[in-house]
Amino acid sequence: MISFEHTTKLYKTVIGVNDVSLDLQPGAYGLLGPNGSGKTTLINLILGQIRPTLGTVRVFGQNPWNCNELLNRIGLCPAIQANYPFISGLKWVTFLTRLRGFRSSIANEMAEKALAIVGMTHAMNRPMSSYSLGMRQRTVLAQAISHEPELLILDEPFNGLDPKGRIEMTAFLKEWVQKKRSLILASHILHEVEALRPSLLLISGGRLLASGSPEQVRSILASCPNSIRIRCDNPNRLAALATEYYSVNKIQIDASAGTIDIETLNPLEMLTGLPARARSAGITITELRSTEESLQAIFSTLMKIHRGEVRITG
Amino acid sequence: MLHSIIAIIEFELFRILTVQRLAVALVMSVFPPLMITILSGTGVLLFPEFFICILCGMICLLSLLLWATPNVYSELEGKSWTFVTSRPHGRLAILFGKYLIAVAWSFLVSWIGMSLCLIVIDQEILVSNLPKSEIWLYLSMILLLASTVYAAIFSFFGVIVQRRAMVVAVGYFMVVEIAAALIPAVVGKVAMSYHLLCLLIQRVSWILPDNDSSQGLREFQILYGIWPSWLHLLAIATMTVTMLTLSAFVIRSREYLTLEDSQV
Repeated sequence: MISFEHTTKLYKTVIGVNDVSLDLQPGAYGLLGPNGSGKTTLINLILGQIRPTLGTVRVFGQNPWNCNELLNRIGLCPAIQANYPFISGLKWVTFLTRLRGFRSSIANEMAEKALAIVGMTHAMNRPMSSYSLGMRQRTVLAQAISHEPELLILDEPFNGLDPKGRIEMTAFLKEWVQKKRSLILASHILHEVEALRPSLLLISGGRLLASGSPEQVRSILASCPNSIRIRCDNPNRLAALATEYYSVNKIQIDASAGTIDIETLNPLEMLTGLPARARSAGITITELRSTEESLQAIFSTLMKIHRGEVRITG
Repeated sequence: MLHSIIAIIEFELFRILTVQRLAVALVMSVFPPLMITILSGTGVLLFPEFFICILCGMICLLSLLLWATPNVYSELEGKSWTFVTSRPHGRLAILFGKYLIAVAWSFLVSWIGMSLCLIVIDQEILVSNLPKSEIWLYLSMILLLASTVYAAIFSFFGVIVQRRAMVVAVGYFMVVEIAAALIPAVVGKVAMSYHLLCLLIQRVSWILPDNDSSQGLREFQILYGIWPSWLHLLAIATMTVTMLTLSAFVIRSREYLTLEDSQV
């Protein structure tokens, strides 16, 4: 469906994507990366909005740059809000559907259908200025699916959505995937993407750092050097146990707070084994978590692995 | 692509037809007849036809600066660029759709202003011997030609410089359309104002206060060298087509970055 061959995109001296090579078959993909990692650049390359500085991009076997036929096979839900205060949702989606070459009456029908799918029928004739953020996001989604594309690309679709909106968006995307339609979902929040069970593409600093199923990626992440915070009733004793049985880079004990921060090269081994050893030693653990929870931290670790500064264990 | 251009025109018209924008257009249209009415009573209006042309031309250009130059930038700033250009022929539809809207809107505003001017002015103080209806016809034609060619030129600036398009357009007008047009040499013929002026002089001869138009025309011809009308029309048409073709080429081949893109 999509192939990148040693694709690099430079914005003058700033790197958008750096030597990316991948081959995506039809299916669901989660494009994960922190803000500014190159996700939107990758999407723009797929859509032919920009040209690669080096390498090639092929979408459905064609070069996407200025390829009009290709654009009707793709639906884009960008990470921006529609800004037409006096226009109704229906008029806006109809207008954008007409731009795909459909006659006004047909485009109107298609727009109504798409708005019904995203649950916006009740408000489609109201001006968009009266919409909540979630309603606008659903309207943006409607314009992307009105022509029933083969590939749907969503850039940060969960931005600004309330919990109900997130659940509804996830349900819609799950249904989309179940219909065997292709999907690329760009996000910087892992669990939002994981719910769809897509293949994951991890990107940071414009580089594709890892790819695979959620299990494979979790396994990679668990194998990365990581810091673990443990809260227990006997931190000194637990610290001794940790250094005795596991590979520990650094350990920091805060006896007053009852916590220890352990930096280890093999977090998976420690996370699975240490609680049992603590229980045997009569230590009660009340909290155990990775201190590097943010995707940004995980990506910086992956970046170090990519550069060869850190090696994966296990 | 025709469907897309029509869709852009209809959508833009829907956006234009707001009370606020119609009020601005009304103020612009009323300004020339108001000036003519004020100046008619003072006796300083020696060349009324010329003055009407200047006033309505200014309104036309002002309107084009507002509608033609921000063709790309308004879409980038309004965050609608990505939505429209992810459609087939989206870029060309923006260019031509907005161009046609700019031509229609600017012509309409300046034409209403010019028509009102001719309604309020007395036939006696006009320099030309032609009846008002004929002057109206010729001035309408000149305004239509001016809207068409300047909209193409300003659209080109909008496509190549975006953010500073208005400044560039004003600079171009001052340097080429005013300064260069006054030079009685080949370089002056690059200015579209020269061709428009020549067409006007050939049709509405008002350049001499004593109404000796044939003498005035001869003097103008000696100084600036008037071509036949069809050649002036050809020059204007060539400039329009060239500017639109160049704009189409640039808008198709250029990467435009939205704020989101510039953040990578």
